[in-house]
Amino acid sequence: MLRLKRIEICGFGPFADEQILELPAGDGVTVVYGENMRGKTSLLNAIRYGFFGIALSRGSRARRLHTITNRDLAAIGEHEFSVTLAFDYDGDEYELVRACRARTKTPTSDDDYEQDVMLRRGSSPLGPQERDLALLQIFPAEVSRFFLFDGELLQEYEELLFNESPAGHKISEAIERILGVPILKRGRTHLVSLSEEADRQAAKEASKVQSTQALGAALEQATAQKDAHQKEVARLQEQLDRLTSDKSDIEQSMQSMQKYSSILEERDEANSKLEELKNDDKARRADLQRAMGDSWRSLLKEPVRAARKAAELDAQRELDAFVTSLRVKAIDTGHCGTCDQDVPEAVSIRLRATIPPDTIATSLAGGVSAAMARLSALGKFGEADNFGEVRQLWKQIQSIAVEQITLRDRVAELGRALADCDPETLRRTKSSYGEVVEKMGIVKNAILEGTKKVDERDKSIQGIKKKLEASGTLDLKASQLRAKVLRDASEVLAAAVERYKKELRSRVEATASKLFLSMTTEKQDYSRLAIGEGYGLTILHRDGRTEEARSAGAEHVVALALMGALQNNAPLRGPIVMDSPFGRLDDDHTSNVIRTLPEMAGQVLLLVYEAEVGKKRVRDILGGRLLREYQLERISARRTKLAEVKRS
Amino acid sequence: MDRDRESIGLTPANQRVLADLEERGWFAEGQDVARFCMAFAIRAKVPEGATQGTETRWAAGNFDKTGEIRTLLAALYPNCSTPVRLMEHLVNEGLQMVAARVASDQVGPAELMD
Repeated sequence: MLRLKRIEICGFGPFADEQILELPAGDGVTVVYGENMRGKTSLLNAIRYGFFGIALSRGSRARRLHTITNRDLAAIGEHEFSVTLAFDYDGDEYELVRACRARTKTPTSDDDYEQDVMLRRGSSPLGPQERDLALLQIFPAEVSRFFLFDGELLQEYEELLFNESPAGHKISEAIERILGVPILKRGRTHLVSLSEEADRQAAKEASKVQSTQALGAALEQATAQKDAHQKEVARLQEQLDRLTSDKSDIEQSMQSMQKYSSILEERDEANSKLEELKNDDKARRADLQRAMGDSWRSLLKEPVRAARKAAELDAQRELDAFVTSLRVKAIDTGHCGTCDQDVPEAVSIRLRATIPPDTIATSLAGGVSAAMARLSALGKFGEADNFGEVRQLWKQIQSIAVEQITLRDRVAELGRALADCDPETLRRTKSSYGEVVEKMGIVKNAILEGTKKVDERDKSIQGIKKKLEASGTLDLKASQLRAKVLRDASEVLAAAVERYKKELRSRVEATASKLFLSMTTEKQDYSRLAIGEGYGLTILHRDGRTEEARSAGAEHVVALALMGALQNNAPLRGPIVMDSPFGRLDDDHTSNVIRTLPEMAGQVLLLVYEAEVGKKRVRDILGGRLLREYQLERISARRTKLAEVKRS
Repeated sequence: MDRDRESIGLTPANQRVLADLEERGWFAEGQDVARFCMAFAIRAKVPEGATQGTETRWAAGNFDKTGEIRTLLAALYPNCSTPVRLMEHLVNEGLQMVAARVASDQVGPAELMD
């Protein structure tokens, strides 16, 4: 059993200076409180990094090393970080140190770092091979998900309910790994290969005796052909496994990048819309500039009209005065100069009546009047009225500008959301997925063909064997018997593995049910959990029916129950480190889960923020099973201190 | 009788105003800005006058290729005997007025025409 004793972190995430977390001996829960951004996830990642050399970010993607370094230290050119884990395993004391230092002044990728790993058992440091082997035995990376997890990882267990889901298949494999099933499966495979070897031996024996020589040679040939086909099928199967694993990885990656994918699509769309708007803006501005070139005419429209009206009045006045002057002259001289006729007295009297008093006679002799000249000049002005056009264009330009600002803000926001994602990788991932699926189809067909050939050879081998059994020597009969015993043994072991798995499933089901009922708030309605072939757990109502629609909170509780059940039934046991696991749970569920934590594993390290669950509540619920409390204290936005909480 | 000018100039302050208005991209070129500002001043009934301390910017023949502006000014300012000098004055006054309007009200070209 693996039991953590001490964690030392330096330069990792917000832990700039060395911070030490001591885990008390004995079963129980150690709690680390920390607000958001203080380093709870970094603490979980530090343990993960210590054991496996990787840290995870959202979507279970590996974090690049240069993003792990403390940012304060990185700002002054110090990019080193290290994690030391002291632990007990099967009665031995171990110390594991993983230190990372930069090869360049400003590292930007994992290649810019080198890592040193040291594992000490007791007082003896282990050599690299022995170290890797020991670490693989103590804590295989494939099962880390059952020891180190956060709310996001818990959500993945929902996949187990879908038998066809590759992600679910991968988790099922990991579950079998922690439960120790693969070692039994390997035993069975070994027996099968031994029985085949015995068959080959029997064929050789038959070839030695004249009476069975021909049959022996035929058997050897058929066996060799079967072996060749089997090898090819095995090779193809391995290839298919690799492709399936690649597909699963890509799917997982795509799933975690799904959010990024839609963000990227939205950003591309926004950028293309921005480009359209830029062209629209350019076109509108060109129209505006053209319109503004004539706008001075529009501005002068009213002043010119007013001036024209005034000039018309002036011209009319001048004309009236001129006519009056002609009349006065006709009255005064008794002769009209215009029609060259004498003016009779009666007409003269009538004309006099039309002359306004105080009339000043005006003469137009000498040409056009000033008013007429002004009127003529104003008439030449090319009047325009493009005010409406300018207003409309300006309105459109302003509206485009607002739209551009909104879109630019959105693009920047989307860019920030994509900071952790390389769009090129995302595009490549999508195309790789298509390629892998296509290859899988080809390999599957080849496996079918190969298996068909193996079956055909097997049939002819069985036929030859029957003939040999009828006419074999004692040695041959002994070889045949050995092969039969080995074959039967492999079949017995295969059945035993299935039975063991069935029993394991029922043990996991029983423990998970117990833990689930301890954690759920619906104890009166739910009877137990039921486990499926792939270790997916369904909730059974007291009426015997499966609870189809499960809330996010229920999924969470089921996942926690599975974790606890696996810990309780696995040969490989260790501490559970949980990062903020209560995000989807209400108060009652949270209390129930805390109460159940000591049942889930011997050693539990709980990382929470106080709004999620306060100190008093944890103390009240756990009582003596609460071993120690730590607080992640803020020094600055980039520095955190780990301090033990003293209880009064 | 005063001798008229053959070119239109701007005061150093108005050179800056013109550059600022050009930068806004509302007009295709400086002459369009100047014509607009001249019209702005005429509409605001800026009286006849002359601006001192200008630096030549455009030839009058280029600024008013068809003579349309000179004819118009002669009609609107009948007592003026130096239309190019008046044209220059109106452009400079107009630039100041437009600059003040743009700075105080944060207006665009459409609002300037209101």
